[in-house]
Amino acid sequence: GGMGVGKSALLLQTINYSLCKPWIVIYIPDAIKFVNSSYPYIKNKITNEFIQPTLSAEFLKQIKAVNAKLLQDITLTRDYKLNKHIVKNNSPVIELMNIGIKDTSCAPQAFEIFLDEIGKNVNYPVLLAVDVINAFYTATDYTDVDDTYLEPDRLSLSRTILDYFSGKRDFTYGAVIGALSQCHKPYISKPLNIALGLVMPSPWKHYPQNLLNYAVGLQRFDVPNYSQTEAKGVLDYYCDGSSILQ
Amino acid sequence: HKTAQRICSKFSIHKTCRLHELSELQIQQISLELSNMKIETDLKREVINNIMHHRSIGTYKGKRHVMGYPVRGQRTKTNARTARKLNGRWIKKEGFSTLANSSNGVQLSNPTFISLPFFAQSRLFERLFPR
Repeated sequence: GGMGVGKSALLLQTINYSLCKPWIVIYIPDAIKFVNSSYPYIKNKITNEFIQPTLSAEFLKQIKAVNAKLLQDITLTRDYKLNKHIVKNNSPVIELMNIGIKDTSCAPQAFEIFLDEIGKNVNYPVLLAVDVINAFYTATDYTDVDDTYLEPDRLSLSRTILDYFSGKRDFTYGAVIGALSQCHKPYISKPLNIALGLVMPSPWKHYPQNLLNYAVGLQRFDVPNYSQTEAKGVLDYYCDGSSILQ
Repeated sequence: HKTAQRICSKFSIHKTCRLHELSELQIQQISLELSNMKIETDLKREVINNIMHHRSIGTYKGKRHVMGYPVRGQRTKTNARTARKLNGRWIKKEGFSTLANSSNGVQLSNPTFISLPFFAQSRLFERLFPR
């Protein structure tokens, strides 16, 4: 939808509805902070990927704060070893998250394991909601060792989330939803717009194939403009709350 | 100028990193990298030497530095302020002692340039009527 039409607000309403259900909700309010080079990043020489330890730890902390009640009922299906820490089978997932929050060096690994375990559980469905999802489909502000800009699939956290959006990884019970945003021009993604059918691809231009592959299978949902009754309702709300003088 | 960005990318330092967030290893790596580069006085000496070289072999560029005019073909009818401020300051500092040893280049024993009349060189008009 266009700017200001209410995509982020609709996403927030979806999240609120899921929280009341109850579902486990993993919400990213602004995907830009994942890719704008504001958090430390370290190269993993084995996999040639970059991990973001502090960002992973902060994200785990936020998820734990929202879903603490539901996560206590979910237990791990096997033993895990994270650097020096060992988490036993059948211990609650919260223990794993606490390790990731306290020790930032094992936070990325803890996050991957957490998503795996959450996806396997059948008690509570999982909602992964991302606002400004187009930031994950553009080149990041992080640079590689040779000073070239990194693609989002080179960052382990972004790649994990893109895997869920492309269907490579799945929740047993759950949903994945994203909202576009046109507010930040550098992060408007041509490949994503082409995959969703918003823009016709030019036969003369070359588009990055790896990003197009991550956008396959996404269902488009258009948010229309305000209708007259909706606009009247919003203005009545503001008048009642005395934000606008009558 | 992207030297700083290139060094930060080499050691995976993100753009909003503060100094206290750097690890000891990263600081050591940066110091090692800087010690292998030409910086500070060495670089300044190299720049001065390059300008002096032009002066001593009598090229067009050397003459422009001496006169304090733009070197790279910019206009002088208007707007040559930065060139006037910055060009040729090394030459004036070093004096003209190097010219005694120069080979067939133009022999300038005093600041006036031969083909221009005296009052143009002293830029009397600009001194009396500064902008």
